[in-house]
Amino acid sequence: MNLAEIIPKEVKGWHREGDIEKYDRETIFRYMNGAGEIYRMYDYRGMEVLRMVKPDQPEVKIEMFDMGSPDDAFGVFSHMREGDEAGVGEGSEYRKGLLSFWQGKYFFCIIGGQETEETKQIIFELAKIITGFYKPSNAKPAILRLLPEENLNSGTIRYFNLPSSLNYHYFVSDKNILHLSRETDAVLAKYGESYCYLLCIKYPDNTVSKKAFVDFLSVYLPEVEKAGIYQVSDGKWLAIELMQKYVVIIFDAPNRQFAEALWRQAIAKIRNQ
Amino acid sequence: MDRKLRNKEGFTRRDFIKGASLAALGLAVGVTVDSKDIVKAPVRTKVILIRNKAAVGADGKCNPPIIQDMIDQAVRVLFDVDSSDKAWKSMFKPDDIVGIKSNVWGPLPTPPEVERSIKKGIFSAGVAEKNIGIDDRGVLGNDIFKKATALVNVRPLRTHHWAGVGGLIKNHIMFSPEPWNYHDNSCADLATVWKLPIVKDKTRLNILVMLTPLFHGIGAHHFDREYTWKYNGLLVGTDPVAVDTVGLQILMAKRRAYFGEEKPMKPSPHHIAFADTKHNLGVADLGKINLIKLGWDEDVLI
Repeated sequence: MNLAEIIPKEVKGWHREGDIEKYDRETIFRYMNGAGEIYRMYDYRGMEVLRMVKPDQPEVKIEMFDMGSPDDAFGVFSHMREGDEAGVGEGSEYRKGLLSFWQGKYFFCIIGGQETEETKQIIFELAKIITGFYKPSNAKPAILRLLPEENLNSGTIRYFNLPSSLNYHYFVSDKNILHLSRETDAVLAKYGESYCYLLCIKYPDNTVSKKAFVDFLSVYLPEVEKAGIYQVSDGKWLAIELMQKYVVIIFDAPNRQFAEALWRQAIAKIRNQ
Repeated sequence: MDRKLRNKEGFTRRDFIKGASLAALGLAVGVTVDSKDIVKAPVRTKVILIRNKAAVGADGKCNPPIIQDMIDQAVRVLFDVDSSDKAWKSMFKPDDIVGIKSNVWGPLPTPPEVERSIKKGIFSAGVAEKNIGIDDRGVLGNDIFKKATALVNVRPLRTHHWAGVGGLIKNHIMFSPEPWNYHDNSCADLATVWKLPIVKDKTRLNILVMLTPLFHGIGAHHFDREYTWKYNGLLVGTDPVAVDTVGLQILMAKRRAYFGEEKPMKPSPHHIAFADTKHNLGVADLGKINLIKLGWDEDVLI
């Protein structure tokens, strides 16, 4: 990782300003306070920051994060995205002066202090230089293939390993009752028009998946003891299944039919993989 | 299976859904509290919401006399006395050393007009000017804060990329030399900061600035003026959990109005609920909070 090798000293009238800043897993808080935790939830190895300036224009900053693997570069991108694809790298989003994208094992943010026509142009120009430098991985985490396509809101797919990520997007419990860890792969996605979520977790072996299944039921749904579809409150249905290394849970389905259809599709995906 | 888990060692989403702390999790529509006839209620459970349409001008600047009047009115009603001087004197004694814990976050700091009004109020209680300090990130190195016998906690309310919202409970995190130790599970146990010796039992007044709150943001690079609005209000109380709970409900209502649907906070600001259910710092149950609304009531959202 070396932004100095990638970005020329001058790009379309914009010049590099100052030294490249570097932050590791411990020092990232100096740069972005608590937001550093978002990267540390993944296999973040380090980051570089390069500033570009042009007279009468707000500063533009390039942040480059080494996420250790394409899976985790996608993971941190999926954690933050909210909007439409911007057509940069292997996945991207542009919002008012902030372009974020991933390519290979790297995640990038290019930020204009304020959005102007000029900052927007240089942001996409810098992204073009960066994406030309690194080869794409052409791969997303394998567990994404287990998501049923029908009613899937693809912009809401989140890939992660840790319980803090799950709770960020969908609070389940303050305890790690699903036994998520660096050894697990998990995907969460929204289905349909309401806030119905499907969570699929792959564990390292059948023992851990069974323990997670049993502990989740015992704490979250103590009134039941086996896989199935249950009404948990008015207008909220939950479905759960254990299949070898996998636990699948559907939260907040609007009715039994919706929960059951999604549940059956998810089971079929795992069975047929 | 660990049976202790079953016996509620932890808290799940369902516990909040079943319980009254749901509101503080930022998940559902808030309860409208009828504030009639509760002026005589204990101070601890009171939260004053005061608004003035002219508090923030068209240029985005605060109107100092109006801000001063809002704060004075709020403390008068909070402490149920007939003058603001009496209210300030009920909070502070002349020999107090008072730190005003502010917030300097660049895009949305505590307005200096609010800081100055608080300082004036403390001064009116007889506290020497040299014994009143205002600080945020430097509190641990600030002699006034190190010797403080009393604190005022004041900051704007905003959504926060890691804690769900940045409110009063969170504002004391700079009293910890290692703030990152409180990051676990989206800052779930932030309330424990309030048990640090430099903070414990010292905060006499909490003011959540609701002049131009930030109601939405995405990811680490998180500020967009489009997601602020002129609410022109202040929330004032002695219980930081109760004040944050009311503030959160206003943010949730604004999100519903803006997005046209129920849009849960991400991450969920469960540190507010936990401040009540796990750490007993205050009350996160809207049904137990006596909300008193003063002033401008258009689009009050609660």
